[in-house]
Amino acid sequence: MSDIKKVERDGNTTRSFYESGESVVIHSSEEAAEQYEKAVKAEIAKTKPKKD
Amino acid sequence: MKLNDLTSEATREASGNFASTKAGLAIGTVKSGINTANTIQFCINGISYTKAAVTSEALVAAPGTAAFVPIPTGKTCYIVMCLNSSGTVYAVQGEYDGQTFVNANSMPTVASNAARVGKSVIPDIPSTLTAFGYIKVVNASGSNFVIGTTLFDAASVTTTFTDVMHLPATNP
Repeated sequence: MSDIKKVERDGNTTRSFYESGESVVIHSSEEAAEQYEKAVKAEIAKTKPKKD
Repeated sequence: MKLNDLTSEATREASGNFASTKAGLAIGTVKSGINTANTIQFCINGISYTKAAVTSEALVAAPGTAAFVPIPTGKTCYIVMCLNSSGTVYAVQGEYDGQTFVNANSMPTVASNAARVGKSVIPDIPSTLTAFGYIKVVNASGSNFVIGTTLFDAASVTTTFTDVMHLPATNP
C-alpha cells in the first residue's frame, strides 16, 4: 500500500504527493490519467483514519 | 513486392514491424508494471497479429537483450515495451548517461576495446519484436529505480508513458 497523501490531475499529467516528495506521471491519454487519479483517490480514502 | 525486395535491413524492419493501433500504455494497477487499455494490432515481418489489453503486466527483459540494470538517481532512462509473434510482452531497457560498459574481451592496449560510456536514448529492439510504447523514467529519488520493483509513481520520479507505432527518431 502506498502512502500517497494527495493526487492532482491536469490533462494527461498527474502529480502524487507523498511525505517524502512528489511524483509526476505523464500518461499516454487523458483517460489513462483519469483512471489513475480515480484509483489513487480510492486508495487514499481507504487509508484515511476513520473519525469516531 | 515482398519485404526482402527492400535492400536495407532498417527499411525492411520499418516496413514490416509496427503497431497499427494505439495501445493506451499506462501505469499498471500494480504500479511497478503496465496496463494497456486497448487491443493492439501489430506486424512482425509483415505478418499481422493482435494482442488483447493487459493488466499489471510485469516488465520482463526481452530474450537476447541485456538484463535490467537499476537506474541511478539523477539519471534518465527509456524502456521500450514490445511484443513478439506469440503476443508475449517484453521490455528493452535503454542506457543512461554515464553508464559504463566494459568489453568482455577488453584488451587495455587496444583503443577500440576501451570501456564505452552509455547515453540516454531510446534503445533499438530486436527484429523479432515490435514496439507499442515506451516509458521514460527520470529518477530524482535519491536511490536506484529498480525496474520491476520500484513503482512508476514513486516519490521524486517522473514517468512518461507514450504509445508508438514506430520508435521515434528523437528522444522526447
